[in-house]
Amino acid sequence: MQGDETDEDLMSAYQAGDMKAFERLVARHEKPVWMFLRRFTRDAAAAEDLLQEVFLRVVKSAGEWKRTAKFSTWVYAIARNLCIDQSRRAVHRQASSLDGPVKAGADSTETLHDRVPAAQSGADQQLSDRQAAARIDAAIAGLPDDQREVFLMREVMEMSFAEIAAVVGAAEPTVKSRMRYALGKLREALTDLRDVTAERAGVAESAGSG
Amino acid sequence: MAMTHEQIDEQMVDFLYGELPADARAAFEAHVAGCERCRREVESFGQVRAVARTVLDDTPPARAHDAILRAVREAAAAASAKEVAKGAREAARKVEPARASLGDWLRGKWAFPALATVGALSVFILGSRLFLNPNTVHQLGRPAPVSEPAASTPVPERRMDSTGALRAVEQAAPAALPAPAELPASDEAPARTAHVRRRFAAEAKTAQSDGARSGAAPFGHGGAARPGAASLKDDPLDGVIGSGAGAREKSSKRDDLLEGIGGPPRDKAPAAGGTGYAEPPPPATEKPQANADFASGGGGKSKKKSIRAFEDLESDVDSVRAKEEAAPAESRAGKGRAYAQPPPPAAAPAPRYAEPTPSKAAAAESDSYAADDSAELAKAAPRPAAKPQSRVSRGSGAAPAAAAPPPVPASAPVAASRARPRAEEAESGSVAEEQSVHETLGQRAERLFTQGRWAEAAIAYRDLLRQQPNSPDAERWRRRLAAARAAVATGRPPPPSSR
Repeated sequence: MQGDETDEDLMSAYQAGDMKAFERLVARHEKPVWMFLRRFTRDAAAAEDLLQEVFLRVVKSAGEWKRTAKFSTWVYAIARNLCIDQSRRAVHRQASSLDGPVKAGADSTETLHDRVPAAQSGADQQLSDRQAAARIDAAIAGLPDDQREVFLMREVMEMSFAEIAAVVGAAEPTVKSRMRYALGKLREALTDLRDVTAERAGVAESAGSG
Repeated sequence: MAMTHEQIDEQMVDFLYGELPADARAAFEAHVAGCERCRREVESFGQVRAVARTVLDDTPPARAHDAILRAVREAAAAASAKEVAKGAREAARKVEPARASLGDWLRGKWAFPALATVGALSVFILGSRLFLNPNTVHQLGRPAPVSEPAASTPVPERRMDSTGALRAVEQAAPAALPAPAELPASDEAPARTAHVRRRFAAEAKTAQSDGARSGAAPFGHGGAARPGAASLKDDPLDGVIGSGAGAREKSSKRDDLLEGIGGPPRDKAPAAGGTGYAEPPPPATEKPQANADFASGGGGKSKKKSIRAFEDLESDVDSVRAKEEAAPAESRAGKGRAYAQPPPPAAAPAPRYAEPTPSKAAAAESDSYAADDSAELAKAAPRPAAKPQSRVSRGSGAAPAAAAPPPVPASAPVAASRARPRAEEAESGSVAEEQSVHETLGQRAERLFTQGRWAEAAIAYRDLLRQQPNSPDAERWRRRLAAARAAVATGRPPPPSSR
C-alpha cells in the first residue's frame, strides 16, 4: 500500500500536479472531517455540502500550503472555519435544529422504553448501549460550540490539545478546560441513563418476584 | 507520590488522551490504583469516551467521496481554464477598472481639489478686481479728481490708443484710472518715454535757448535747468499728478503710463521724427511765454506748430488726445493752447496753464500750482537713465503713503548739470523767481490742506520742504505733511491738533 506516505508527502505531490495523491488525501481525511462536520453542524445535509467545500478549499488554497504545516491541522482548521461561517449564516435554523436531536433522542428513548422488554437482561444490555449512544449523541449535540468543537477535534480528528488551541485560537489550558467540561456533561448523560436503567431493573425484579 | 483528588482531576484530560509525560502518568496511575474515587472517575470518563466513539464513528455517504473528487477535478479544470483566461481577464481588468474608475477617480479624488482651485482662483480674481482696481481704490479711499478728469482719464487710454482704439478711449474717458494690471506692463514704456522726453527736452532747449530764459524760470526748481519746453512737456503729466485727486499710486502710475504713452511715438520718431523734432524750436520760443504767465499769448501759434511738428510722429496719439480733450467739458478755453504743447501729454494740462492768465489768476491758482507740483514730480523725466527716472517718479508719487520720497535735490542737480551747458542763462534767471513760486506753493499747500485734499496737500508740503528745508515754517510743514499723509493713508481727516 501507499500508506507509508505522510499527508505532507501527498500534499506536496498534489502541489506538483499529482491528482492521485490528492485522492488519497481525501480518502484519508474525508471521514474525520465528515464526522466533525456532521456533529458540529448537527445537520447531515449541511455537513455533506461542507465536506465537499472543505476539499475544494484545499484545492484552491493548495498554493498557500507550506510543507512545514501539518496537513491534517490545516484541513481541520479549514473545516472548522467553514462550520463557523455556516453557523453564522444560519443561526436561526441551527437554533431550531439544536432541539431536534435532543427531542429525537428523547423520542427514541421513549420508543425504546416502550418497545423493548425491560425484563430481559441481554436486551437490557442492548438497550443500555443504544440508550447510551442516543444519550451521548444528544449530549454532544447539546454541548456549547466551544466545548463541542474541542471535543470533536480531540475525539474525531485526534488533534493534540496544542493543535486544537492553535486552531481555535485559545490557550491550551483553556482548551483542556473546555474538554473537561464537555466530558463531564457527556458523563452526566450516561449517569442519568444508568439511573433509569437501574430503576427499570428494580421494577422488573419486583414484578418478577411479585 | 501522594496526589490530591484535585490534582487528579486537573490531569484527567491529559491522562485520558495520553498527553501526560511519562513520570506524571506514572504518578497519576499510582494514585488511581490506590484511590477508589479517582479510579471511578477514570472509568466513567473512559466509558463516556467509548460510547462517544461509537456514536461519532460515522462514514460519509459514498456519494460524498465521488462528489468531492468530481468537484475537485472540475475545479482543477476550471482553474486551468482560468489560467488560460486569467491573462485575458487581467488584461481586461486593467482596462475595465481604469475605464470604470475614471469617473470615480475624477469625481472622488479630484473633484474637491479641482473645485477648490477654481474657487480660489475666482476669489483671487474677484478680489484683485475689487481691491486692486485703482478705480475702486480711489473711489473708496480718496477724493476723486474733480477738476482733472480729462487729465487723468486719458492716461491709460492713450496707451491703449496707440493701437488705434479711439472709441474705447472716448468711452473710457470719464472712467478714472488705469487698471493696476496695466502698470507693470508699462515698465518698459517709461524707458522709452524718458528717452522721448529727453529728446524733446533737448530739442526744445536747443531751439528755445533764448525764450527759455524768461519762461522756464517760474518752474525752475525741479527743472530749473530745463527749458520751458521741457517743463511744459512734463507739466501735463505733472499737472495730472499734482492735482489729480492726490492719489499717490495714481500719480506714479500715471507717470508711468504717461511715459508709456511716449512709447509709440518714439517708435515712429526715428522715421518721421527727424523733422518733427526739428520743428519744436519755433514753439519753444513761445513756450517760455506760456510758462511765464500761462498767458494765452503763445497759444495759437505754438499749437499750430507743435501739431505740425508731431502730427507725423503721433497722429494716432494726437487724435486720441483730441478726443480726450473734447470729453471733459471743463476748461475748454485753454484747449487751443493745450495743443500748443509739443509733447502729446502736454495737451491735457494745457488748459491749466492757460487759466493762470492774469484775468483768471485767482481761480486758477490751485491748478497752476498743481502743475507746479507736477513739474516737480516729473523732474525725474529729463534725467538720463530711464529706469532711475521711473523709479524716482514712482517713489515720489508713493511718498505720502510710505517712506519719505527720494530727495529731489539729488535728482535736480542731475538734470541741472545735464541742462546747464545749454540752459545756463535760463537757470540763472529761474533762481530769482523760484522764491515767489515757493511762497505761492506754500499758500496752495495751506489751501489744499484746509480743503481736505490731503494727497495734494501732502505733495505740496513735501515739495515745500524740499525746496525750503530751512524755512522757519518747515516744522509746521512737516507736521502738516505727516498729518496729510496720515489722512491719505487712513482715509480720515487728521485730528485737529495736527492742523
